[in-house]
Amino acid sequence: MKPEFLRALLLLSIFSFHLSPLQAQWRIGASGGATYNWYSIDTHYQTDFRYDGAWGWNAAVFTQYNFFDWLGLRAEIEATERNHRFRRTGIFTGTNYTVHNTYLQVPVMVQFSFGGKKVRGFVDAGVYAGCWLAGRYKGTNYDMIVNATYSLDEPYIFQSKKDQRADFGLAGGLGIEYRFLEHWAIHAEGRCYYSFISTVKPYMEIKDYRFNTTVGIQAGFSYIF
Amino acid sequence: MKRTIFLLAAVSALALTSCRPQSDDLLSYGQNDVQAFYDANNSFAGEFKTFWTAINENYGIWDYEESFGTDWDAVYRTYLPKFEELDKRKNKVTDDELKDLYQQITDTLHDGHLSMAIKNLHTGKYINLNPNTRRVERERWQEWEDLSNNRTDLHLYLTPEAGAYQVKEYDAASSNTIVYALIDTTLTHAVQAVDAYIAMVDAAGGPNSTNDSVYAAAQLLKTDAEEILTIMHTASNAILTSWKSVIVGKYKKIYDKYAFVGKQTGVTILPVEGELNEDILGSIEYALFDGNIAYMRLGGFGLTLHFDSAYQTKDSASMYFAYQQAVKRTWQRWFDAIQVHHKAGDLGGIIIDVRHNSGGAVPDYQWVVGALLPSGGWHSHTLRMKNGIGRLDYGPLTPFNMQTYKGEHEVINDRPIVVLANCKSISMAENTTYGVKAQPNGCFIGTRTYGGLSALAPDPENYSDNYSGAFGVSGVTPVYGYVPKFIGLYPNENGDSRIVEGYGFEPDIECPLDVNLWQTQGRDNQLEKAVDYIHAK
Repeated sequence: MKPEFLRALLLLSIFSFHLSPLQAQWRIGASGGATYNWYSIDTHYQTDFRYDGAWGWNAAVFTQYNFFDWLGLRAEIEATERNHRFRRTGIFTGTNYTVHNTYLQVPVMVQFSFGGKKVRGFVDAGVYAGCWLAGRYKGTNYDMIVNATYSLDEPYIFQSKKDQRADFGLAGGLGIEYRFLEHWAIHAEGRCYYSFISTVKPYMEIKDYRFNTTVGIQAGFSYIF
Repeated sequence: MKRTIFLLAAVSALALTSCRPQSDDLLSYGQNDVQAFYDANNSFAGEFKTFWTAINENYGIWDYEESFGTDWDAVYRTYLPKFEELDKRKNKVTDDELKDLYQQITDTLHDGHLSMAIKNLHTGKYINLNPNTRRVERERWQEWEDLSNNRTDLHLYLTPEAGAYQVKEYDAASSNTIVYALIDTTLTHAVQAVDAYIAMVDAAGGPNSTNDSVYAAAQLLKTDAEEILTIMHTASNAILTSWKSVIVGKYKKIYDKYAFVGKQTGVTILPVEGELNEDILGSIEYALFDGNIAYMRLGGFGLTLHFDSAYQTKDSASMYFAYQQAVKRTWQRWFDAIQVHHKAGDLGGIIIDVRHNSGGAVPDYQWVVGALLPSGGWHSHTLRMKNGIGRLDYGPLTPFNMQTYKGEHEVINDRPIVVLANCKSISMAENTTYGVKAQPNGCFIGTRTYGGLSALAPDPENYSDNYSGAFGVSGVTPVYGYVPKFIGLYPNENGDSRIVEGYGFEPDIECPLDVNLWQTQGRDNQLEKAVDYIHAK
């Protein structure tokens, strides 16, 4: 890291801690909601393979420090699902299952807010880093040998050679907050996570990348010190 | 300031979304496609790239191969320059040298069913690669040699001094025997008739303008017929079994080529019925040993084709009809003996003999091991299928439930069941071996099986079932891969799933064939071991 950047960061920190109590505020909170994930994959010549988006859930605890009434820095610890649905067409329509993927992630975002004292809108923008925790297949699968469909509920077997556990990408959101008491507020937010890390490692001479893009609708509360 | 920060954040976010790299473009090798096989038709390097990519995408056990140290990407980097060198060479690339180069690569692969055919672009001939056969020959060459040169069909010996090994009942059916008997009889008669015709023409002053073409054809017919008869009279059973299609092919050529000489020479060449030639069962034997031990030996697995009415011939005058009746009768006697003696409480045990059995129809399970288990199917193992173009892309595991006998029958869980198998027991023969071995009252006697468990669907029409498995078209595309699509995962003693490709199943009681005993006394020590084992229980 360059010394100039470190110096600027230090100055900003000192400046931030000398803001008036009304402007500089800590808060902690929790939120939860639903996610919807799209899996970007090149199916190449597998013409009847369909990768559709799928719903999941998320739950988070967060802390936020406001430098000004309009600018804050927010960090979360979040468990979230990035699911997708796999299905086939034609005689294989019995194959229709959701791949559930649970991630633990830490989004760090700058929050810009605007509006009045009680009701304020806000925009989050930042990055997140996370890791894949577990996966599971749920749904139905077509068994072509016996020409029958069977129900499926089995764990995804993680392959360290192929599967990428780490995740990193952009995080952003748009929401509204209602401060109903001096120290308490509730909020609702739409969130988006755009991953830069392929879910498969580049383990082959042939390159084949797959990415998650997740949106979330979540609500929560915060306690403002 | 606020506006500037907002703007910067928005522009940065948009710019960063372009950070995702693109995947390579890939073509399907599932069938004969001009675009996909273009490079393979034009250079050795292009052919190698097609071979490498097609195997990369369609082969199902890369995780298993990596456990043996195979690095498929390193294969690409190492061998591509060697094939590029072949393209630069001015002298012809021989079949042997091309085969040697490809064998260096494929010999490291373990799938028991895998075979490849690669066209030599200089000679136009295909080289065939069969890595697991080479592995078994290499690692177990003595047993392989012994079994290849000495016997295939176990004909039960019925010597009076055999004592405990005496057979009380016996029945058998063999399409190989019928086909070879037909060819032998027909050609022997043909040679005799041709000899008589030639002698007659010679006695009349030699051929003339009216019979010279028939006279010449008759001489050629005799030469071709004697060639086949020599092979049949001198080759071992093993060679006759493996060369069946070659011998029948030669015979068919005689039928097509010389049918016109029949009237003048008195030669009658009977056709081989297609169904007999294509029969994958080959043979079935039943015996009931002293102590009511019900024995059945299968040359291959094709019983379902004889039991299912959809596949039964209606032509009661055909040899195939008689064969099908004999197959059904032989199996029924084995099945009935088990029912009768188990109900009576005096069943000694059961022996299923799949030595030298190269596999076949999976539904046959219901007539063999499945005839001893409860109705409703038996969960044998799980199957894994590829589900993407990546080497390690697999879908969810699928339970593989073998069919069991649907009708009323005795469940044999209180008497020993022995399966006899050896290194020439392949595929469905190995699944049968595992089926017995996995039963509490089951025992596998013999030697380690071949190691080719995964199932195939080689028809190009089935390629899109999983977009994996066999690719190309045999004899048409310059690269053809006979590659399994259903990978078997078998539980071990601890219940953990494992792949056994290229290795096979270990016997519970190791007992190699005593070749000397077989050659000098006609005794089968493996079968004797099975009978002794049951008597001791």
